[in-house]
Order: sequence, then structure tokens, then C-alpha cells
Amino acid sequence: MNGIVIDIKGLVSGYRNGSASAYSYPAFNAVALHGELIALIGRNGVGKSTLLRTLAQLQPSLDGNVLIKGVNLRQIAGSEFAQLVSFIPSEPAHASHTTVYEFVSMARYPYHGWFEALNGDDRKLVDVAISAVGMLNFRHRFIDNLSDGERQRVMIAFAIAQDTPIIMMDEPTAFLDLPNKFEVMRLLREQALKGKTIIISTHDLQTAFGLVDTIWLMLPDGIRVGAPEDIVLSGNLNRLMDNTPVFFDLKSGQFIYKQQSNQIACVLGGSSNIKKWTSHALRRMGYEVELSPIADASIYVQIQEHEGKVQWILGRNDRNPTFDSIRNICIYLKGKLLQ
Amino acid sequence: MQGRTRNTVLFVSLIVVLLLLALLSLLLGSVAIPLADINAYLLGGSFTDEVNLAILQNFRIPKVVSALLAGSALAVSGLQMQTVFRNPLAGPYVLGISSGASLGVALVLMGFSAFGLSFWGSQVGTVVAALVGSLLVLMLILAVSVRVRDIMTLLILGMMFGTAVSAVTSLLQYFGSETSLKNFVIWTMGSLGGVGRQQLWLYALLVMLGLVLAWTYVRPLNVLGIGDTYARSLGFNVKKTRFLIFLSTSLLAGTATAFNGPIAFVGIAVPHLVRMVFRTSNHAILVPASALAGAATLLLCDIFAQLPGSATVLPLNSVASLMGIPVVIYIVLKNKRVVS
Repeated sequence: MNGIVIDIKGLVSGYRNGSASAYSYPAFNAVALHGELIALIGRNGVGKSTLLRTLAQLQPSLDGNVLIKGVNLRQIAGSEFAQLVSFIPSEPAHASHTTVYEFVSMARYPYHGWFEALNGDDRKLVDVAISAVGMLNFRHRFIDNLSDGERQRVMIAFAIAQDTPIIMMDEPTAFLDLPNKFEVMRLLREQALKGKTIIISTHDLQTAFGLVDTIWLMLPDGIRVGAPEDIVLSGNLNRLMDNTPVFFDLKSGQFIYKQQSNQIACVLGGSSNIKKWTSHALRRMGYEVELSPIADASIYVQIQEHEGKVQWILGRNDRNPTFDSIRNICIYLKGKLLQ
Repeated sequence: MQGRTRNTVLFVSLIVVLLLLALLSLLLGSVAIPLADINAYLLGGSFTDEVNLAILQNFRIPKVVSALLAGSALAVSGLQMQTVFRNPLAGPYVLGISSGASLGVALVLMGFSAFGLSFWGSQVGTVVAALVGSLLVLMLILAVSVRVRDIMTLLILGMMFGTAVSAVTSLLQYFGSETSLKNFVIWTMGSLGGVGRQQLWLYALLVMLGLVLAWTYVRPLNVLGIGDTYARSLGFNVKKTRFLIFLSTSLLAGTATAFNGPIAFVGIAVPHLVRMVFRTSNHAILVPASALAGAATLLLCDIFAQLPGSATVLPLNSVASLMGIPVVIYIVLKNKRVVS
């Protein structure tokens, strides 16, 4: 993975409103390498789509330069650019009565004049692209009869058929279930391993952290570039959640939603997994959880395991209400809250 | 390749139906003309009645030709607008073309007569006025289209222009004399009859120009139908492409309206039917199929409007809507997914 494909120099992306810029993201420098899979991560409204659209030449930059393989973006136009960069927007293709094959074939248009028919090589490339995403059996199906996951695979096939060294996708994993999110990332990773430079924007941190090479973390004051692990260790991930009740727990690698709470729940007894998930439930109910007895706790939950059956006792002695599932304690506690 | 055979069969049947309807349209009317005379006219020979020759030359042939021209022009322009605006409700008149033409005709029929100028009220006068009216609206739309990128804004502007122009027409109607008002209302009902033989060549030339332009834009239309962003990232210049498509649409719809009056139904319904029957969104198929189907539809409507055997002729627009809309409703309900 070497060789700079995209070289961003002092780029300012944003919208101009009249003479004043209505919104702009701070100037930054970054490079994207040959075969690198990059995830653009940032809060809603920070300018991920705007940045992608600027890189894809769909809107003008406010300042700075972008070099693609050493050539300034501004000097590449029309179909020449379409042979370098394929961009898949987040809005779905409006394609009723269009088959998968017809749709993916359109990706070959930049290589031909308006009257030149697609040739055998084009058709072969289209087939290769469709089979690369495992949709060969669907090639004559209409796009609007596909599920979201299948459709997103077709979008990747479109980008593959366009046969560009650079692929950009705006939120390719939105609206997908978890296996499909991973599948989309896996397909993109496969393309990166074939030497394509891929930049996607996403909110799916878990999927991105599992499969991408590099994160471009768009914080309000600028971009931080690093491997997912660099981003975690630098503490910048928590800056993403500044001023929110969410924080990233370095130890567990999970995002935690911290509720405002002044009530303490003590969880006592039980094996570690049951203790952990009981605590999880109590946090969800708005308690702060302690795993050792504390004098001024609001509630005590004792876990008793007996012959494979688990019981939860609310309170310190046996006369207190007893529950056979976490759901039932939650219903009980919620009932008290609702009174 | 199953789809290709299916398309060939559909195209061949469409052409056969079109030819049959054209023949039928030559035969039927207030005076029924025997097949032998049509044979004589087309292939040479003697006529059973010399009057028939005059009817064929001066009325039937121009009527059939203008049905072919208007039908294909309106259907193709409607198809282009539905694709460019990605809106199933769009038709040849969304850009305000017919309002412009109507204003032109209203000025000629009612405005000038108010000043005692009647020489313009000839048939040529209405055609010229309608052409000029739609051309002015077209120029307005084109001027806006190179500045506005958002397609929905364009749609709204087109409708606003159309409404404003119609308001002026309404004013003219309000102040117009009774006779001129009736003439205007009759014009708005559409007719295939009024085109003289001398004007046909101009009509044909303009429509052909529009159709050729439409045919040139098959690929951009395919991509624009998917979405403007897709078109741009495939290297198409969306504004320029749209400009030329609007030019083609206005040429087609403007010419058809100028010669035959506003015929609304064909342009909206035929592209839908063609999409559903051919089951594709590939404009290399949709453009020729819409042209053929539009021509056939208009011929069929006209055959009914003529009420064969009687001297009465019903207004074309009403017949087209009354006949066509039940068919469209049936097909739409049967297919449910018309346009996603």
C-alpha cells in the first residue's frame, strides 16, 4: 500500500452563500494511498457528504487543491474524470423498470460516445462487476424489486464496472442490517485489495473499525487521520462525542450512553455474565451500578443461582420481591417510576 | 435474449396496428371511401369517384399525416418530461408550452379582433401565433434552466409560467366577443383536420427535427432518469443535456399544439403504457415505441371522433380522454407499480 493517489492540499469544502461562505470545513491536508480503504467519520452535519461531493467534483471547493495522481482536479473534466473516480451518492437510484444489468451497463457510458454501442469488453466488464458482488443470478431482475442489501451490492457493482482507480460512496451501509453492513464493507475491502482507493462516509463505527485501513475523523476543528486503533488510542474518538452523553469506553471498546443519575443500585452475587447484564439493565433503567455493598444505595439486587435457575431478589433479605427474569425486575422498577 | 425477441414482436405488432389504423382512418369518415380508391391513390389507377380523390388529397391524407406527427411528437415529448423530471405526472405541457401556444392563439382570435384586425384569424395565423407563443415560453424556460440546477425548482417555475400565461389568456377570453370566444374554445379542443397540404411539409420537418434530437439523447435520458447526481458523476453535463432535451420537447409539443391544438392526454398516458408494456426504462426502446404508440393512439381516437358514417365530428380532446382514461386506469391498477 504505497503511492499517493489522492493528495489533498489545504482543501476547504463547503457552501458559499453570496460572497460569504455559509458553511465551510477547516482547511486540511491528507493523502489517500493506492489500495487504501478509508472511512470518513463524523457527526451529522459536519460536512462528510460535502467533502465527498467536493472530491467527486460535484461541487466546487472553496479553497485549496486536490491532486489526483499528480493532476489538479480542476483540470480534469467530464468523462475523463468519470474514468478516474466513480461516485455513488447516498440517494437511491431512481430506477423503475431497469434491470440490474441495464443499470450497471450505464457505468460504461464514460468510455463511449453517445452513439457508440457497448462492445464485448464492456459486457464482459459488466458481468465481472455483477458477479464480483454475487448478483449474477439477479442480473435480469428489476432494481426496484431488490432488497436494500441487494441494491447496495448492485451499487458497488456499478462502481466496479465504471472501472476507476478511485471509488467514493456516500453512506453505503445506511439502512442495512448488520450482516449486510459487513458484507458491503467486505466487498469494498476486496476491491481495495485489488488496488482501488476507496473513500466512504459512514456512521457505522463498529463495521468501519472492523474492516477499514484508515479513518478520517472529521472533528469540528479539523480532520484526524489514523488507523482505527490510532484514533482510539489518541482519545480523539471521544472528541467526536463532545457535549453528548455518549462516550467510548477504551477498555471494552464499546460506546456507552451515560444517563444522568443520582441513584445507586448495588448488584450482589451471581456469576460474572449475569452480573454484567443485570448491571446493564439497571443502567438502562437510570441507576448507577456498584458491585459491592454500599450503605446509601437506592436499591439492592441480589442474584441467586440455584440448580441452573436464576433469581433476582430486590432488597437485602428473603422477604423482598423476587423475580425470575430481568424483564420482570425492569417492569417492577418502571412501575415504581410511573407512580 | 428473451427480452430482445419480445421487443421485436412488440415493435412489429405496433407497426402493423399503426398501418391498419392509418388505412382505417383513410377509409372512414363522414363519407366512406372504398378500398379500391385508396389503392388507386397509392398505387395508381382509376377512381370510382373523382370526389374521393379530392377528399383523400385535401382531407384524409393530411389528417392521417398530422395524426402520425402529432401523436409521435406528443408521446415522445411526454416521455422526455417524465424522465427528466422523474415525475409520472409530467407531460409535454409541464414547461408551459401549451399555455404559450394558447396565449398566441387567443391573441390572434380574440385580442386582434378587438382592434378590428381580422386578417390574422386565418388558419395560418393561428399556427404562426401558437408557434410564436410556445417559442417565447420555451426561451423563458431555457434561460432559467441554465441557471437553476435543481429539477424540482424548474418544474415549479415551469408550472408558474404556465399559470401566469393562462391567466392572461383568461383575461382575453373574458373580454373577447362571443364568436371569437367560441372559435378559441374549439381550438382548445384539438383537431387533426385543420392542417392544409401546403403546411404539412413544415409540420413534418419540425417534428422530425424534434424526434431526431430526442433520438440523439437516448443515453443522457437513461442516466437522467436514474438521477442527476449519477448523470454528473458519469461525466454528463446535466444543464447542457437538459437544455437540449427541453429544446426537443418544446419543438415537438409546440409544433403539435400549433397545428392541432392542445391535445393533453396522449403525451401523459402513452409513455406510461409503453413503459409497462415494454417493461424497460431504456430510452433506445422507449423513444421509438412511444412515437409509434402515440401515433396509433391518436389515429384511433380520431377514428372514433369522426363518428364514421355521420356528418358530426366530436372534439378530439374529449374523445381521447374519455376513451383513453379507462384504459390507463385499468392498466395502472393491474400493474400497481407505474413509477416508483
